Amino acid sequence: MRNDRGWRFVIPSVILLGFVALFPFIFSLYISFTESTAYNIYHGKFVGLGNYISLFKDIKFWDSLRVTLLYVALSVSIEMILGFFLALLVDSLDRYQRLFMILLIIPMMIAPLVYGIIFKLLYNSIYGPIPLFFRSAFNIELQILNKPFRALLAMVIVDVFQWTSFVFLITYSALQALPKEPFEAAMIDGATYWKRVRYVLLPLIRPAFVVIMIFRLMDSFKTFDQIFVITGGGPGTATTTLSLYTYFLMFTRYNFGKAAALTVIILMVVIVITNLVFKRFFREVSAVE
Amino acid sequence: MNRKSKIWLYILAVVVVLIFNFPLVFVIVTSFKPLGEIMLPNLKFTFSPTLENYKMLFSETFPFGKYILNSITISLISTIGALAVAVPGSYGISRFGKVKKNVAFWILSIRMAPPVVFALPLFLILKWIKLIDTIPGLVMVYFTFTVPLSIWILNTFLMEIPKSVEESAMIDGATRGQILYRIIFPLLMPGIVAVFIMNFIFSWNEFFFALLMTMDRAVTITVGTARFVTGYSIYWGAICAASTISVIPMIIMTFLVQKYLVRGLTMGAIK
Amino acid sequence: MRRLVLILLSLFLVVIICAGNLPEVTLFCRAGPEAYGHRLQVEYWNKHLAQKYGFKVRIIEATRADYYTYVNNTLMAGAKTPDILESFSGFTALYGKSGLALDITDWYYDDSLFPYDRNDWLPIAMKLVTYKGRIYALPTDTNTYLLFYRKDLIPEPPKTWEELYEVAKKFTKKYNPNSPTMYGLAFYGRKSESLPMFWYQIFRSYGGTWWYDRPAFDSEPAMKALKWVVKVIREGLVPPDISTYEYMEILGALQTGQVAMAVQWDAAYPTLRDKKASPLVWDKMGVAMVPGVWTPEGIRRAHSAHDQMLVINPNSKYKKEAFIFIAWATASPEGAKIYAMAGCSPPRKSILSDPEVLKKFPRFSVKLPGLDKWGYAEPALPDYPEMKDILNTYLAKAWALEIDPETALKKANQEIYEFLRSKGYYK
Repeated sequence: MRNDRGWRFVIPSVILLGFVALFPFIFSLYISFTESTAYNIYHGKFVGLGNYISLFKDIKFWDSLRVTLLYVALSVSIEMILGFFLALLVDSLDRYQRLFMILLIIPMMIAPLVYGIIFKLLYNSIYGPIPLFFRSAFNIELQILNKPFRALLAMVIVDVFQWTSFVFLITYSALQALPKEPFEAAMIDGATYWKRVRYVLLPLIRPAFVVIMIFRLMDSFKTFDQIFVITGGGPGTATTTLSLYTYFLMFTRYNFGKAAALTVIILMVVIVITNLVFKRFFREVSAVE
Repeated sequence: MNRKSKIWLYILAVVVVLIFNFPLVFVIVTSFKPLGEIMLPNLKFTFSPTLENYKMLFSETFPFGKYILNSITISLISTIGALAVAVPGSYGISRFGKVKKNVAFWILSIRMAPPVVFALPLFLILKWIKLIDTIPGLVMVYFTFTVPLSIWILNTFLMEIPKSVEESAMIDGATRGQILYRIIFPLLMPGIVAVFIMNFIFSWNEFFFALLMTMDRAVTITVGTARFVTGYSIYWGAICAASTISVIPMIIMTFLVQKYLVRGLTMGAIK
Repeated sequence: MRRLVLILLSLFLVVIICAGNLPEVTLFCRAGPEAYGHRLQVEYWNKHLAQKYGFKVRIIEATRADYYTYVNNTLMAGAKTPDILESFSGFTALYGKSGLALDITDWYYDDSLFPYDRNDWLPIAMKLVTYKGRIYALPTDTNTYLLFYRKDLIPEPPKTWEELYEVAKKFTKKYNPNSPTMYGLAFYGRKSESLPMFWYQIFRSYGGTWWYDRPAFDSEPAMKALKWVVKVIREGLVPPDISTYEYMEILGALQTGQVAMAVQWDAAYPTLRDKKASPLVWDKMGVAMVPGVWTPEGIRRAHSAHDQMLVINPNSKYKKEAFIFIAWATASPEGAKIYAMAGCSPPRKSILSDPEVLKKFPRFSVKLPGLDKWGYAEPALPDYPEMKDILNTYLAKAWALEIDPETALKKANQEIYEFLRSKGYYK
């Protein structure tokens, strides 16, 4: 095939993305070297790497990094396990598979903000159904959002409720696409169900699993809406993830310089991770197909 | 597997579905409860259904109708606009080796970056070009995620279209542009539908950018919903009614177009 | 698809046509008691004055959580609407330095635009909207904290923080099984504008000042103040989820009869005295000045004072109209009275001593002397928001018992010092 002037087709997207993504990044880079603030946005004093240094010395930055990693690790691992078993469950049904699938992917369709609002109501310590249930069933006064770790767990639960369906959906679709022969062979050999899952199925869907994990990792890293609505980063700073911390730096402190420095760092990390993921993604995707 | 354990499987599946959809059912039920019965400090399963929450949404103080209209407009324009550049864009990327790798990598990076990374510069840029709190402004911001998403999904669809189709057309003397619009475009239709749905969902559900970049004229349904969390009393009934309204189209969509949705949601990674 | 586009287009047309003839000035405010007052004012304006002055007013209410972030974003973004925004006096210095809000000094001294009595304000109210001699807003309310207590349970409200602690203990079930309320006390706990302002009152009544040669948040009075708060939280005299408490939660705790006392903004008073909104406690609510500390000269209290204020968007198309409206809404006898009768507290002496207003809202008889004698303003620095946020973060951490009071204040003070030094306040 002739390798002719294909770049022409790419021009509009490149220009558009350049304007909405690349230009903002360059702008951020510029701001990150200045002392930009609410009364001096564009002409802040040039401070070199000052913002970066103050960020690395900032204990709250490390706190929020820790919170983010904990949140991502907990939510993604729980979702992966639950989603996998849900996919096995639906896959082993004889009829109505499609219906169950649709019902299980509904949570994904709902705005994360709405999920946040629902759970804010569910968790309310005075009239929230969850504390009320614990009060009447076990006579326990359950306070969900006041203890640092518990509040973080509560945020993880919201994420799990919404995004397990994503893991389920991809795993389920991958299961559907698997060849039947290896299973039949294993069945003839007399392997039990769980043995077949462990030694035949798992290796086969591993590529899909890697893809899911990458997307879930990145997306749960981005989480903002639910946490913002339910706890606003509290109690203390127990649920202040990197996203929330950046937001606070920008829009309650108006420390634009430092916030820009933080976004540059986040973007660098993302690019490095994407670079690692990229080659892998292509390999795994071709394996899935 | 015997019959009995089969039944147990179904029971388990139903329970799981109920658990995962509990928040949704809860919000829909609550939207029909009078405010006094939502904020009760004890569990109660009966209530007298009312429409007062829905009436409140469309009262003078809360122009919810306008928010819905804004959301529809913004979602549609950002979706269609993204498709207009993404169809040729993804075609270029998928068919021309040189372009492919760098651009695809770049686009994936944008897809992976947290929105908060773009928030500050986009906010300041929109301020600079005076598009804050306008529909075109928000649409532009939404391109940061709709365009990469579209290119990415369309790309996986394009990879499945055999090159032989184009080659024969090219022998007949058709130009690249003609091939794209006469041959590729119809074959790509399922992909375009999938992208359309995905973009619409993401734009509709978006909250973070809308919170920062809209104040009055271009407020969307998500920000509008959050506005009911007031200090006087949290209007839980109205919030739930607003949430229900914003969720219903998404659920209907799930049932109608789930075939495309699956491709879209998985970013085209899995058929 | 085509049909959908057509429907949308026609809907747009309808919206445009319905938009009406008179120019419309938009007023953006925080949902809550103030918005209720403004809504009544706007209704009155549109009915009686719109034709005379040639413009209408439309009100937009927004959520209370993170409301000021939203206001300042709007101003910083250079949006053309809303024309008038309700803001908060903590930002006056920032607005002054940055020009985010319109400088209205000249119009304020122009008798044709401001035909009202300039000597009727509470002095602190105008002080709070002035930065370096220029006026950037007009005050709608001057608020302060009050101690809300249950008259039926507590005959004499506690006067000092130590007394408050003792009384709170008496009304906590854990220490007194006969207590009619679950917990003794409630106050702000979630990181918010109000949290440091609550704490400042303890800090200042223990004798704290903002600065020595450095910021003074690690001084003796500060330590005492934070230790008092942590003691109350640790011993469980407040609801256990106190670190999530904001205006709404405190209100809820009082309304449901969960707590016997609360330190809350005085703006909550009308809601708590409303039979419909607070059926359990409306007739049992008493208010007193915020507690203080005994000194040889008598009791020393501190009342955090801040203004709710209306600022004008410098990018607005209707700046002069906006000024005419805010002048009417804050200072005219009828505008301010409508607002006061809705339960808000315009800082106009004539209104606050109006017998009709006093009869409906007796809290003013506590609030006025409190503000008069013990009212103080926050530091007026353009960089105060960031400084306050640093303090806020560490206070919230101490509230959540994540770190001990001493470490919290030492770190906060050090960080504030370094921040102010980087901005050139210290050499």
